[in-house]
Amino acid sequence: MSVKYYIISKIELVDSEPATTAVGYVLNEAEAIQASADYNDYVQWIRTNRSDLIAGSTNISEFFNTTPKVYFNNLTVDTIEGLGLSEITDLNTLV
Amino acid sequence: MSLTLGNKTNSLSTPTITTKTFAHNNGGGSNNYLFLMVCTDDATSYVGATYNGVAMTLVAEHTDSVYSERIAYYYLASPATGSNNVVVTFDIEPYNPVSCEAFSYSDCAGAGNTLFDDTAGSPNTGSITVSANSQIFGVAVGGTNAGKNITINGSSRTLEFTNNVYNYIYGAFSASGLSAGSISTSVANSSDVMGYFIEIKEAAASSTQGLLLMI
Repeated sequence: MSVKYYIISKIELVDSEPATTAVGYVLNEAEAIQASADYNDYVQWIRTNRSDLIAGSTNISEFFNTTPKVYFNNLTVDTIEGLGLSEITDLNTLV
Repeated sequence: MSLTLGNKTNSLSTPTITTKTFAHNNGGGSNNYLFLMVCTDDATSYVGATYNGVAMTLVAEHTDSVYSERIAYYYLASPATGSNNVVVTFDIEPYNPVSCEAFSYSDCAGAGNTLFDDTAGSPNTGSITVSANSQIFGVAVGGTNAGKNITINGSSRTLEFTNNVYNYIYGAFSASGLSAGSISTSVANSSDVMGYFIEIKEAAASSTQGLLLMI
């Protein structure tokens, strides 16, 4: 079976807009799921507030007031060639 | 040469603009094709998809009746090789999560039949008719992250990815080299689940090979 690279990224506000930045990768799905714990809250918040976000009556910055950074597994690839990422060996460093 | 699956890229994001962009490394090869699956809530529609700026062709699109997730399959023949951007364009900012799976093939003849099994319950079974030496890619959309399974041609398949798009989408490939005819499919989840399958066809043997066989 080929190796899968689970790339972990963080979402945070940059100039009042959510920006996604890759921070590294893990090599198994369990760690990818563990790293994505806050993402479930983010998805739920968006679902609840999407109409207001579209209408402009709610700003996505409201979510980040309470959770400044959201880590999640946003890419899963067969090769990390050219991505310049390192393995995350300790998920506790994602703080 | 036989149909060969190349690099695969799964991307999950929550775009706050009307495009989603991610890189996919296409390895190239003869009769090279790139395929793309896109899934998001049906509050958003797809305008189109490109790879390295070249428009991809829509194969099929369907919105399920339980979770209202919109699934589309696209393909592109002779895509640029190397790491290039896939760009999906929407009619409105999705905000909701968008799941994409891009995968490359060589010695491929493009997309064949599709199956959209939009029936509540679990498991959901169906069948898709394929040509000789095809391979099938399928995704399932379920309400939970538990009880996930995709079975194709009687074989439970290794899941390539699971994405939280408010509901859960997960995907798998069949074994390669399927026999021509009707192939059974089954998707399972601890909640209602729908299956979406596409046949990937093998390129026909070249005329040179045919002549050699005659000799």
